[in-house]
Amino acid sequence: MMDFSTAPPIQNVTNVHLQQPEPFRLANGVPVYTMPGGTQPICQFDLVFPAGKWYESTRGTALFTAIMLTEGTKSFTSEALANELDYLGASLHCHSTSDFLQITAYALTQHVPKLLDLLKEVLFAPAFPQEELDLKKRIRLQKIQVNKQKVEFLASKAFFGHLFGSNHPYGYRLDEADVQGIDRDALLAHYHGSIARAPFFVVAAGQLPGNLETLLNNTLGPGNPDNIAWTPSPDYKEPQATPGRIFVPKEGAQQSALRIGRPLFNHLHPDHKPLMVLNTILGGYFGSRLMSNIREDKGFTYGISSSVHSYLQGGLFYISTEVGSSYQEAALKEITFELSRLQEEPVPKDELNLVRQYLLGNILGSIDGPLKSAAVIKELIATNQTTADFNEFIEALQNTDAHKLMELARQYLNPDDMVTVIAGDPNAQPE
Amino acid sequence: MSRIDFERKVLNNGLTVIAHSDPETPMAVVNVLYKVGARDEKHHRTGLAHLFEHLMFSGSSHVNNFDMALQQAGGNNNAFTNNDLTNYYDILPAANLETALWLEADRMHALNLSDKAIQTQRSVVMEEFKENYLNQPYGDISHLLRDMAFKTHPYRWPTIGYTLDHIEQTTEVELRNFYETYYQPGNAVLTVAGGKPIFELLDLAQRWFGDVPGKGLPEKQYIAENPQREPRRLEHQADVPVHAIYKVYHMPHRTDRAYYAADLLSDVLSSGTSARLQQQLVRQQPLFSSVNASISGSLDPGLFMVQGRLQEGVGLDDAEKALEEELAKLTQEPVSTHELEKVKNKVASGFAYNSLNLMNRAYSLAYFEMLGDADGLNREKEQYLALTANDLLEAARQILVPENSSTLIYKAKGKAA
Repeated sequence: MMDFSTAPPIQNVTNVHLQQPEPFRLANGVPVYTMPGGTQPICQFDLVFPAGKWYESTRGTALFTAIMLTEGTKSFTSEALANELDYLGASLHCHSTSDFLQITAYALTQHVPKLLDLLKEVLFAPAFPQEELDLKKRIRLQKIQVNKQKVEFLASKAFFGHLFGSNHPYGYRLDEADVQGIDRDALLAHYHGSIARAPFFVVAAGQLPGNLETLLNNTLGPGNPDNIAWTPSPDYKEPQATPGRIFVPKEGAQQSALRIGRPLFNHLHPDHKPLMVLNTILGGYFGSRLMSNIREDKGFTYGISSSVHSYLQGGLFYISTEVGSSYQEAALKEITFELSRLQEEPVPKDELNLVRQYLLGNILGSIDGPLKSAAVIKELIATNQTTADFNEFIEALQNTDAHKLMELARQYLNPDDMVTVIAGDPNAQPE
Repeated sequence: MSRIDFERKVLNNGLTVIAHSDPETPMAVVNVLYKVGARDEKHHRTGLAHLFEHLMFSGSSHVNNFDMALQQAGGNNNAFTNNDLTNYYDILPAANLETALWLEADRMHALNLSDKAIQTQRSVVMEEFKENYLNQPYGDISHLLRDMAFKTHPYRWPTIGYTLDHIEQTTEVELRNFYETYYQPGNAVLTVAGGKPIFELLDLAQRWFGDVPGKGLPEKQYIAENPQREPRRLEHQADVPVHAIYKVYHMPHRTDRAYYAADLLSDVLSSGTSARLQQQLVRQQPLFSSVNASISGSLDPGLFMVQGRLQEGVGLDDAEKALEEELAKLTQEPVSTHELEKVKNKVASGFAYNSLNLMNRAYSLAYFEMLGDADGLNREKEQYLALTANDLLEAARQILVPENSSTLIYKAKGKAA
């Protein structure tokens, strides 16, 4: 009979090894990072371009350029291209973020040559058909109309707008006027300026075909004739957002969406790595201070979390939740209490140890296999980091002590420095 | 796609153990599937299975705090409930596998149901109800559709529960009875998977779960739904920005051959951008801004659903007519060879992709064991590949007919119909 009365002995995670990519360059200089292996005959390709919102000239241009790349090319209509991809059981998605255009394509290994041919079409011969653009605009307009009914969207929009400025690339959320103003010429200009001749890199993972280098030279070769090395622009200035409370009304809302946070540095700052550890303790996992208090003890919400976001040109910290309307003020009070507690009391040894082990186990799982590891590698390279930075984070995780965390909390998690946005029922607000 | 190898052992207490070894991963997964879901509830007390799932994290006889004990071992966990089953999974470094086994075995028979935990989780689940079903545009569609389609079978209510009241009024006695009845080894499948040799996985499972007491199996009787003979229809107005249409049709149960045909039919309609509904009703005729076909995937006969949100300025009658025409086509002509091959290719690559994930494999093995044989997972792809255009035609003629349909017309208040 096993002894249930004590927990089985635990082995601490000590060896977190991120698979190193095997890099080579195409004939035109494009770097390719390969992560071979995996248990299934699948290949995944990630391409990253400096073509996100930061690089656009008008709002929504980066997003719509990304959407339109797969909406028709010189040789394929939108429908024909979709048909080719679906027939292969393959996938090709273009995703626009604050800083980047990310293209992810995957297929069974046997279909990789065909997939790369299609990728070449999309990258170097997009047609931007007006009819497809009009349809996409109509669909996005509707999506915005639906989103405006959601307190989480309203709170997020007001929060990011206040933090960065509603005309800042990181600060805006598309509204109807933006979408209506989307213009084919602007998309073409963005494509030619930021994609067609831009530096980019490739991460290729999985059971890669033996002739990968040849295939990539034939398909992705034409790009990047200027052979500009990838360097994110270092022109970052920390925005100044006035702390305080902002209310966004939504009649009849049964919950209030809360966004509480402040602008911050990005991943280049020496405090970034230890702050991620502090953030986990505050609101980065199910047993966090915020979850334990506001969900598990008080039952105010289905979920509450905190995040540290890093962009190329900025960063922020914020807490996010939706609470029952009648719990709104009590929830805000508890959030302030948890922020203050981290400033006043050092994190107990047991808790810090638990968070360390939890994060290490989590990270171990997130780099399990070449395809998962490729996602981590992609993020590192895009932000001009290497596996050495990954290892430094592991070290910071293992070595940051409670007093350093308390110092960080005093410096960066001051409730008085926070912007608080509430989206909820105007009739449920305090006098 | 390579086979997912496993070994099965049934313990003396009735627990079925499935072990799957993967030498490539440093992780291990413990997945416990309890064969109880919303369909086991009584109509006056719905939402019980899901509320109970929340309470499984309240600690047990030898475990003060479930989550903390697992996190200390570098582990993560989650759970979900649906109409048929409640599934719990833990993922952690393989070296600490026994921690997860200890936690799951202890809470299988010695859960602590405290007043405080019940009170809090009731509140949390009520917030979940509000967040996902009441405070969301179109949030109540599953309530409305199920109520229309099912008159006697317990699929009539969604897993979250009929109303907030049901959750609010659940008593400690009801929760305790539920636990005693359904949470026992004979009513569960345990998968142990990951970076350890198979004999070790089986051995550890036996050692930790072997002494969990087994009781009599719960009696399960689900009132069958009478065949629907006439179309049903409901018009509902709400504060949403655009009109939407939902149509559900009764379809065969999970292990019926026609289930697979129905699944492929839903793929022909909307799997991928090149699929029929997307091309015909969003692009060619700009009627819908989004449109989708899916199946509920339930064990007992479930629902085939088609839904769409209308584009601005489009009339409900026109949109509904066009949607019905697309569905009728499937009953009139067999799908083309190209289309059939396309959806099969997508299914095949989907299987390969899903197999990459250790947690998916662990859950799937338990799920197929619940269906009758874990090895069914390895035969599943062939079930799809063996289907002919005629199989799909027959399934369409059985399912996609008006007298089998329930239609929900979701009108945006203040907009012309």
